[in-house]
Amino acid sequence: MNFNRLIRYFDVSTSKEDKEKYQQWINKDPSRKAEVEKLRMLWNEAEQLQPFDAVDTESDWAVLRQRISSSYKIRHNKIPLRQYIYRIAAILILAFGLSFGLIKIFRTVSQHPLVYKTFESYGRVKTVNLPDNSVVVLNTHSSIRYDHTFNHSSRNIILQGEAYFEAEPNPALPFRVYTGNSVVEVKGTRFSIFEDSAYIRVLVLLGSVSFQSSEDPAVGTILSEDESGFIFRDNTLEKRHEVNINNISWKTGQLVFHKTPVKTALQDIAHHFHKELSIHTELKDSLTAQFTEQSLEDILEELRLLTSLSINHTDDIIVVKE
Amino acid sequence: MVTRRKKPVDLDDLKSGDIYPYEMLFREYYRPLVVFALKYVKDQDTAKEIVQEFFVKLYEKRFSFVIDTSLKSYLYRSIYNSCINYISHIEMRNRHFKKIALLTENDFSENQISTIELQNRIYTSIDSLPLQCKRIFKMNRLEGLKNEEIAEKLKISKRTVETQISKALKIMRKKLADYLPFIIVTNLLII
Repeated sequence: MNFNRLIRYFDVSTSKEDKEKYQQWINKDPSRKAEVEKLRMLWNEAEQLQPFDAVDTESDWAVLRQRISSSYKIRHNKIPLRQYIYRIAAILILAFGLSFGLIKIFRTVSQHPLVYKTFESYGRVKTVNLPDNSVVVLNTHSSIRYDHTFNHSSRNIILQGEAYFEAEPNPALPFRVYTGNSVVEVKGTRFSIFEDSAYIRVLVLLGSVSFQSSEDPAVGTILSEDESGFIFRDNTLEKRHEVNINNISWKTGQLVFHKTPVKTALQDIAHHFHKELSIHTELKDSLTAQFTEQSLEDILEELRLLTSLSINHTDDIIVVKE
Repeated sequence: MVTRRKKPVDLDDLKSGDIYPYEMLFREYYRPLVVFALKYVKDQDTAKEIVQEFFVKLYEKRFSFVIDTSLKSYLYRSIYNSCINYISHIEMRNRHFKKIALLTENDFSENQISTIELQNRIYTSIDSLPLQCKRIFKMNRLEGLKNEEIAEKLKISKRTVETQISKALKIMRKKLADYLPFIIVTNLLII
């Protein structure tokens, strides 16, 4: 079936003569004609779907989730004494339900459709191998989640926090990561996503990805190798033709500076060690150095030698003086 | 009727008390239920509120509720009832008994549910298209833009627009293979 020809046939702006030509082409073959009828129905039905498009399931779920968790708390506070019997009954039903559920899970573990998988890294960097052989490295205090359709009808992941991805190529199933108000779609590539209160940042190290706002379809771009993109919370987009490799120092354990302004270097170091940075002097020099798996104290000692600045740190802050 | 291959969320899953089956149910039905409610209340925010209110109640009584039909018909039936309640409430308040046509049992039919479910299925197939493909297909079909207008807006050639739309149709055709004969049937019924 020649679909390009077909949509020109459906198109209202196609001239009458052209349409007749296409009509003749369709009439030539009865099986083609039946197929065209089906597609025409699909074509026409799609026109009616605006109301579906106007419903944002994702954001309304967030609202609802909030509502049900707060309604639960309120009820919890004022349960009358006589309702204890109900509570016990509820627990029994729950226990029954659970054992029922367990039996069901054991019986149908392979095709049970409701399994949601969540991986959280808590305090340490964690590597997760996905069912499609893609690899995710989660930074601390980050999580990913996907449902039973993963690697079957979709490869959708919800990310909170920061993660590095090596997505396995599969042209039939695009690999999509939803983070905040953004969605990243790839065919197979290496990239990293970082979520901040102000923006979502994506770095592409290999291949290319499509980086879109999930709220405003007009906001989006393609990021290629060695490019980075930012989508801010107000759905504005910024693209840079560079990648700061130190943004994934949490994964590589490496901080690399090549003629980097000292201020930028200090920012990267502070970020890597989860510290605030306070600078009380003007910084003009640049720095070339590489640190691999070194402690903060070691790195600062080298910096002191290289820059002759006074650099000190406490548990949460690095202070730089003349 | 078309039978579904995957096992849908059922009562036992809900009664387990886990939030995920409940979330799955919400994700699966929220959109079509809002569209369904919209047929009665004619206002997007009201329709959303009715469906959300229903889901809050469903969550609160998830351990105890009993239904004697399928979960799907139960959901649609409940939303239908909520809409009727809402409308009669408004009627009482406005005392405009005659201005708003009274709804009857006949307004609620299996047929209507099938139509919405089918439209929802088509919408879902559009929604899971590759991003650029989806964007262009939506602009053409849902927003009613001409291919030239889309090309101009996205700064691409008209040829590319056509190719993307063809691609969309091709993918959807494949995904909806089992349902397409059914589309023709429902269309005939509506006519």
